[in-house]
Amino acid sequence: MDAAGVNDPLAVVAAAGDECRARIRAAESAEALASARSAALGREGRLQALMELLKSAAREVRPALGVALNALKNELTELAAERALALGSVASGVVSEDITLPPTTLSRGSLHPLTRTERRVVQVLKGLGFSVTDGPEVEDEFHNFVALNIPPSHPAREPADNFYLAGVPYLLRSQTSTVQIRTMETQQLPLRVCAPGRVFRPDEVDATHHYMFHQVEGLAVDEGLSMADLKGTLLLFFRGLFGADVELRLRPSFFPFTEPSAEVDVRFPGRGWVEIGGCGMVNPAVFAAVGIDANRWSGFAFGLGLERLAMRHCSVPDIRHFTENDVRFLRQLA
Amino acid sequence: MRAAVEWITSFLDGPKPSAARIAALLTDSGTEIEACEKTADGWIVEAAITSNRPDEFCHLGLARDVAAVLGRTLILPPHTAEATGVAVEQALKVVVEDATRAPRYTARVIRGISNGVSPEWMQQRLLAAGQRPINAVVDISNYVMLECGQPLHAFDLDRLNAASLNVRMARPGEKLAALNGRTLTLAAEDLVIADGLQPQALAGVMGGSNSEVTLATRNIVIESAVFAPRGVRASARRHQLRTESGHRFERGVDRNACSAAGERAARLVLEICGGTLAAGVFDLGGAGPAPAPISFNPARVRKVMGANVPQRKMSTWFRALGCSVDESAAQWLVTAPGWRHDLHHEIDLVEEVVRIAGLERVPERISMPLMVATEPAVRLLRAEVQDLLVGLGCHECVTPDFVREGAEASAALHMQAIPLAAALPVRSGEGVLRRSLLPSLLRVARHNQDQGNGTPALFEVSPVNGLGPTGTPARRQLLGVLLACDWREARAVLDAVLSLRGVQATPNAMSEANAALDPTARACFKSAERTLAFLGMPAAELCGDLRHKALYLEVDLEALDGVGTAARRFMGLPRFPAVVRDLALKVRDAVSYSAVEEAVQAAEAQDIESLELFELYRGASIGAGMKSLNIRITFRSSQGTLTTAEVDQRVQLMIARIAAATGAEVRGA
Repeated sequence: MDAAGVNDPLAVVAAAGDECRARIRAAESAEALASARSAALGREGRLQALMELLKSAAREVRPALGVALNALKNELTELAAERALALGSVASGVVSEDITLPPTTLSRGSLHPLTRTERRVVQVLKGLGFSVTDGPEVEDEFHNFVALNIPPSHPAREPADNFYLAGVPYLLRSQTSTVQIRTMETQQLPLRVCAPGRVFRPDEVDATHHYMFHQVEGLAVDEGLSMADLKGTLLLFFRGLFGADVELRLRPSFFPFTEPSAEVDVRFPGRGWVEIGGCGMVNPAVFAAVGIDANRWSGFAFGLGLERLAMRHCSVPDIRHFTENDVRFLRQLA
Repeated sequence: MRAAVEWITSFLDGPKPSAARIAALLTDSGTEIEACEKTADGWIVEAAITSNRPDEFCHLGLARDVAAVLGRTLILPPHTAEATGVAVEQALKVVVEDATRAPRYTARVIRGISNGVSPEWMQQRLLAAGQRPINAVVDISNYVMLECGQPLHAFDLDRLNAASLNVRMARPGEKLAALNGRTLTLAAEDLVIADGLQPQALAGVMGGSNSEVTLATRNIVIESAVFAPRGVRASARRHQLRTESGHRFERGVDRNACSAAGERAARLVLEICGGTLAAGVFDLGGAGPAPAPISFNPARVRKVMGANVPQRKMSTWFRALGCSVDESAAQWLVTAPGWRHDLHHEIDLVEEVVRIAGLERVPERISMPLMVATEPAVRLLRAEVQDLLVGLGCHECVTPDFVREGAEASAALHMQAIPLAAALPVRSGEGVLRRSLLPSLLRVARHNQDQGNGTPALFEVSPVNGLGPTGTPARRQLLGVLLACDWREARAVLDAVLSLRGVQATPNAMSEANAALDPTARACFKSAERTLAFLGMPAAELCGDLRHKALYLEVDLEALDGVGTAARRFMGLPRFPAVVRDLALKVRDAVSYSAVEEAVQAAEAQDIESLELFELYRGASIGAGMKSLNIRITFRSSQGTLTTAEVDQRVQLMIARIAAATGAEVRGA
């Protein structure tokens, strides 16, 4: 014990601490660490030797010295454990987990991408106050054509362009707009509904066409609705669906059941306009067909195809994937 | 329609806008320009014309919208032709037998022409618009059609028998040698232009080669007529002829302008080919009734559009579009021109204002009150079912509704209504609407098998449709699940689905007649007298070359939602410990598990918390025709801790009861 140590035991502890810390930190192998640990904390170690100072220290220094030794012991113990972790071995004799092992396979199922798409659309529309409603796939001509202002001579009613059903006065609906009519026939005004569902058109099946596909229709009827409400609603809807930086453009177009009518285009920053659906103000002829007073009420409607949305969103190049249901496809989009 | 930009702008006064500007203007005013490109014949635009605007199937029509948007004056081409020849009646005889199918029919005669090639400027415009030049007379008729939208036809007068034209219905089986080289066999519903002997044209669709105008032609008849759209469409379809002329008639042409177009063509013929125009014109049917003025309140525009448009602009636009406007009263009177068949109501005029003003003028401003959004109960159940099954490892499928006639069409479980079928099936024999999701899911299973994807668990949630007993459509919301597992696992899936609405259902035998599921492994599950589900092995006939054993589960979601509830109530946690006892039963194979279950329940049932089959074994060690059922019974009382003696006593009683009821050899464990 040198003179300085006797005179200032706290300085001795501090110096020893620095030395032990440095040695533990410098250990580059489990063996080196074990020896550094033992040199510091072992039975014959440095700390044990320092304990001897307590006996010889002046009475008034002893409490402070005791605290300092305890703190150093805890610190060195922790430091050694940390170093051990860093060296990849928790303690001698314990084998650590091989964290690079691959996972086993869980039998996870998958939600169909069209269901996912429909849910996203419906979720946003519900947030805007559009109740979800359902309508039949097997329709009569009144709901599929007449009430939608599609007169008997209209080419849209051609047998070759529709799935008329054999022997009965019904056909498979060619658009979800039929649900507009059914809703207005039965529900109290004002109303705000959306109707997702299957529609059918005898198109040749190819990469972008199928005879069965899905649409979502939106309809709002209230007092004093104008195209400003339509445009505002669509903007919120597409922001909800695609994010706040999406832009909206309406282009005048024609649908028998809305007037004025428009095509709906959206654009993402730095990309081109993409046509995504149709919309318009409910045609007074449609209101007349369901007995709604067009002088008091006005409304707007919009519709979009779910397949097209899902194809764009998930980079699906061929619409036939959706009905083929190859599980490799389903798993990728799950 | 493919249009030449130079041709469009030739009708505008002032400086000529660029092709890109024309394209943008037309798109923004309702005529989508799908392509705008420079070709060897100049700039062209491809216009997608909506079905309400047949007036735009010509360069003048497109130019009119451009002029209205730009506030330019439209320069109309001259259309008067000087007639210096004999009276037309001396040269030709025209009869219209069916005025319904041909509301207006005009014919002019020009004699002594010298037909050759058309002038270069005309050829260039035709080429730019996608028309191949043929000879001057034919080119002129095409040119006038592309200019003003009125299809024309020219006959070689000298090849018309008896120099006569008769617009009549065809006689069934009559032949027409068409311009495209085909010989058409006509039907009684076809309207034809015949001469004294035979049909010379299929009205509005295609002319005949017998009276075709050639370079040798000297005397011609120029037909400019209106044919009823439906008749033209039917004839075009029947004979599979898609022509520029038919396309325009199907959508409707301007009856009032019909004769002027004929005169315009005559003028061009005189200019280019010479000859003498016979005096007068056959005009059978004449112009249509004058269109009724539309009452228009300018204030309506703001209500619909949500933006202000000055009234002065509205009246200017209406006039530019060809309307006449009486603004003397607050309620305007606007009369549409003959070429606009789509303007009848106030809202039609509002739309004109909106599209010419441009939709970018409409602000994005919502004035609607907040509303609460609801969703039908069965849709909420559908979402819960989807999430549950995905969590259980099943893949959701979406499949088309059509199945094949025969076994697929007959497969029916919940939906027993009469099958419906498409009048025109998607594929031969494949047009029946499915009544069960089973055939569709089996197809998906076979596809995945063929792709080497193993035997994934598949499901679909979809309505199925049929015809109900009263002759009205019947619809059921079904869940179909196709599983490659054993009966008990499939029942676990069923129980999980039913538990979404807190329902338990018991298996029952199914009707003998059902052909969808195999009689050796099938059951229907009922609760509160309602059939909620079917489970069974698909009939071999439906499986086709499916190699693995599958089980199909079908749940009626509306029935499940009707029987059960999504509401839950906490029942408290048990206060006293449970006592568990295992029993091993050796029993004949024919004894059902439910017999054992009933015997257990019958014996001192009040403290039985649960009964679980934890092992089912068949094998040589226990003998043929026998099975071993290992069951675990959990006893628990709500009154206090059960003693070993109490439980032992009940188990003894139970063993005796099971043995008596089922003949089982029972060992306590």
